[in-house]
Amino acid sequence: MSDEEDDRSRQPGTATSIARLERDQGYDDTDEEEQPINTGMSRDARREQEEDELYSDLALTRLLINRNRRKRQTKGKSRVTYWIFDRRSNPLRTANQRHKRSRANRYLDVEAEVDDEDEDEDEEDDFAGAENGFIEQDVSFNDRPQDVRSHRRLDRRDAEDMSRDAREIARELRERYRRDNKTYDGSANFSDRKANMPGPGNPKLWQVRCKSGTERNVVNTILMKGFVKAEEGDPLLIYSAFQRDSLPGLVFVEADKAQHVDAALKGISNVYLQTPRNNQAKNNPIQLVESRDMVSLLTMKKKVTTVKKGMWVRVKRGKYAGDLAQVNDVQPDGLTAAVLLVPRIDYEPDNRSAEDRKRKKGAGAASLANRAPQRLFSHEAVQERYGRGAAFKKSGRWIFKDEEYTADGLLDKEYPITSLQTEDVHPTLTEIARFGGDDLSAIADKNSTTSISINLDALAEQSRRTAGSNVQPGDRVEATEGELAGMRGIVEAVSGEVVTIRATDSDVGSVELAGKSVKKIFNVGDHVKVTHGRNQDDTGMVLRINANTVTYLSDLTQMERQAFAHDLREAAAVGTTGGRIGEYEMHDLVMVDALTAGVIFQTERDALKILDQNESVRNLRPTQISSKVGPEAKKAIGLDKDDHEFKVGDQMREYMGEGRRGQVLHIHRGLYVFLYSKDMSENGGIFVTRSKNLEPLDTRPTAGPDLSKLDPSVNQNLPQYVSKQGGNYRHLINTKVVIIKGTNKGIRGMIKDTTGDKARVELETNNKVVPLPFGWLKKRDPQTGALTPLPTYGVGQAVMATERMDPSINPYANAGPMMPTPGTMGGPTPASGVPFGMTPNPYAMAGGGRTPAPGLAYGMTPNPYAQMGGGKTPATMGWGTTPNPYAAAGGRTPFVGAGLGAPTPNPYAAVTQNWNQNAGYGGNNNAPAPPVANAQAWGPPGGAAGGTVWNAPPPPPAHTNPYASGNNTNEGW
Amino acid sequence: MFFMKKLSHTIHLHPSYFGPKIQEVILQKLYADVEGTTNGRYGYVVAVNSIDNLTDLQAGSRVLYGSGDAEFTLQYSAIVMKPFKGEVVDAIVDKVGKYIPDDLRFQPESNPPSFVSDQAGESIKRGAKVRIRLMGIRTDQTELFAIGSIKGDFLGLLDQ
Repeated sequence: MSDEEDDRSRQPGTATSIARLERDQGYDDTDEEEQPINTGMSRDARREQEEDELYSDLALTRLLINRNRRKRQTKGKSRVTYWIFDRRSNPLRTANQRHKRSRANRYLDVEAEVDDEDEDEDEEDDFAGAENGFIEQDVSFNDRPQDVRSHRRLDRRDAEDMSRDAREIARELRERYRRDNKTYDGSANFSDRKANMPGPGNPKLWQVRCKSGTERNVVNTILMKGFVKAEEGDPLLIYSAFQRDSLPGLVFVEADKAQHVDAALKGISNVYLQTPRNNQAKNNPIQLVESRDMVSLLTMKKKVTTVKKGMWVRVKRGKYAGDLAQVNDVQPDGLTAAVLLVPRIDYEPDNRSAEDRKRKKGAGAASLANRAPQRLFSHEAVQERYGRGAAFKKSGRWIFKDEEYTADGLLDKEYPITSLQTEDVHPTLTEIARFGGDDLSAIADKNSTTSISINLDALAEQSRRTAGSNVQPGDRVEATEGELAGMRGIVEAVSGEVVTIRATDSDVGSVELAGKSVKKIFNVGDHVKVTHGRNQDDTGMVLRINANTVTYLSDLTQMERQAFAHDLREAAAVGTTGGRIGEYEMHDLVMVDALTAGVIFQTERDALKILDQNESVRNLRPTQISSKVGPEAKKAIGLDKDDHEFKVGDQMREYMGEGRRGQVLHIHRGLYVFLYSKDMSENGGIFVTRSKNLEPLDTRPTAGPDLSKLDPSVNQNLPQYVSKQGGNYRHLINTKVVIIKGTNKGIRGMIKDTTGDKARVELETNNKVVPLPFGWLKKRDPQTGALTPLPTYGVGQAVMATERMDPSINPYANAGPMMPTPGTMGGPTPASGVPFGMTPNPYAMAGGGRTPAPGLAYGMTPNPYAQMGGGKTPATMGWGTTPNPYAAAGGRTPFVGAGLGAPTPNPYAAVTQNWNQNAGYGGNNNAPAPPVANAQAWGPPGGAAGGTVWNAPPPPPAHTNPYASGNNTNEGW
Repeated sequence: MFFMKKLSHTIHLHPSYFGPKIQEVILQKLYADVEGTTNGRYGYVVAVNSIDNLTDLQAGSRVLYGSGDAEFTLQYSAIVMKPFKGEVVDAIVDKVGKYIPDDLRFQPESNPPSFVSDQAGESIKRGAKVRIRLMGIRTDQTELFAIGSIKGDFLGLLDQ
């Protein structure tokens, strides 16, 4: 078994891009007879191998020791330094001893292959020798008779090879290795693997500590020592040495015995052969690596990347290290690729100090930091800096300093594929944008015309490859690679990288595929959710499907968006609320600052888009929002253009302007109304307008009366129980009365106090105080002794209210607390001892020309209606005592306008609530539609006049007529 | 697709409505409650067709403790419209967006915006009648969404 085979078998799929030792000329001279074949073959073979083994990332540099070849050089760097040599062979042997060279050398170094006389035997061995472990045991080899026949056979074959075309040979080789490649395709469960496991008879692997960072040097030193020792005739008794970058501070040596390792390492600096004093447990600095660990030590992750045109890569080294590049062309040999880069031309060479340039020579990092910024090639700029003729045009491309620039200003440069990073490229949109001169849209436009096309498909393909296909059971997928490419099915199970798929379009049943070789598929109309990316958690319906991208209509914004298919999942048919960041949700009303409110209409991953009350759109982070308006805001009520109430959830239309229509989402300060319309795409369908600019979309009542509440018509006939407080009668205190009913009938007395509807009367006869209803009392004129009913407006009203007045008849009564009633509020009643509650009916007042104390009544009544009536009442005394500004202004002033016109929420609402129980009254003030007809009905002629002054809007529906009760009252009178 | 579907609805009635007009009140409430609403499961309720237990309303009703409200459960038949994936429906264009079918050109300048076909004079604008095949349905608790396509034989603009 050759080492090559060996190598492959024990490192399945290993990156074995062997840094080939260039045959130096001196050696070639000695091996003249083999030269033609060697060169021909080696190149082809190398190419072949490069093709097959482009797992370049984890290249394994192997320093081969071929004792016959003294001068050698290694090429490239790699993560593993590894060398193997054969201690059997004498480095000083002559050409005729060559047949004794180990097979290991021959197969590892392809160039050396043919010049090995043991070829055929070895080849036989190769395929049979699976029992061998790492490095072939030499024992059996040594025992083998060295037959002259083999030499002849080789000669014969050489002659044959010579006669053949090198290409043919290459093909042959390719075939052979392809098969090999297939056999050892990196799958961990390859069956021959076990057979290749190191056995007890194989050399062991020893692990030695060394100074971290010097591993590679140590290995190289061992190599050199191996040379020297071998020359001295005292070869090292080890087989190989290597290190792994992933295991810093460790060097591994393959040998039969620990003492061989010890001998090989003795005298090499940075190797810790001394037992650390403080570590008694590890008394032996040379540790044996267990055989099962040997495999993993020499296993490398397989990475297959084919470089394709249009793919994004990164440059690993040089001036453009780390820069994003797009593959423009791949050489047929697959070794180099032409890539497009955003050039880093130094347009300001003079500005860079000489120091900088000096430094450039030295430290690479410094020069990297000082490199010119990325900028598209500009002929003008170059000309300006470097003079005319520095750049010239050749077949549509610019040549400048021996480098080619495309017409788009991109650098077209060739790189060996090994110096390109093809995995984990993750191009950002910014980087891609630079290719188009920082203008993404321009690129998108150029898409079809220019060579640099933002191939979304390629991008998607790549990110899918890196991210895996991200499938879950239940997903519909299509196979993209392999025999079953194109097959569609449903994912049944996912375990690691393997997905089990039940085919839906053929009867292959369940098959297992690599996760990376399937892609998700969707149908138009599917409801999907975005799982990754900028629009994460967005949901929508699929509109269109391209190869790898899907256009969907977002549920939240009703906008078309694009996403990669692998970033999508099929979502439940029922939409989710979604769009939530922290405590903020779509369509929440938030305070942008202390004065400005806004509604969230779009949520991105960590940003919110907010339309504020001034119709400007803001992009804010959740932390920038000062507060969220609580749920109580939902109860807010606005007044539309006709001063009708509307509330959150109502369908409204703009009265002026664009006539936009939508559902009320929020009412801010009763003034700014945020509406949502499904038909608008702008701002996610949210718009803001003033409440006064709205009218109801549907004028017919949206729903009938609330049937779970009292029937209003029933309500009308129910008696009202006005709670009576003594205060209303307090003006009667010290009035002299006569009791006209009850046991004390006929007795005179004086009202000393009032409680509720009773008066505490101090009887003149026995100095007793007895509580009596007011109805039992009559006022007695001290002079004449004439009896008159108690001169109490209050009492009379109270009684009347008790009988007739019911505030809840008036539907607006409930609104009372929400509505401003400037008349009510503005007029502090002088008779503060008489609460409003006891003056429930202004109409009574209007009719109240008959009231014994109308003036007093007016004073207590802040109601403008009352004043209307009052204006016609001859009793002017009332005016004089009323500080109510409205009253002072005179009855003809349309206060109503002032009262009703204010769209602002009632700042006094809380106060108003205190007398809410009497709010039938205040409510009347707010009645948006005092019907003229009624006004006439209830009042003296002046009432009609007042009605016209108000310029009242159309009457509300009959059952809500607030004046119904007023009429009743009048009837009562 | 339209269906006649038997559904039920529960109404709470304040005692003040108890009286000769109770049936009328209940019916009005029912119409107001269900007609024109979308049920995530059954689709859009177009109209109430008949009430099955109207004559026997009292049997299924009861008075609730505490409030004195009466609870009526109405069994009614309604015409519901439930769209299905793949169904072909006739529709009226309400709004023209930007999603461009392959054989049509979007004309944002025109008023209203419309899609204009290369074929003579065909344009899809607001108010136009189109026949579409529903490609996807999404039902919310109270809303229905559907994506339709006019790509296909006999689909697209209907003759006016």
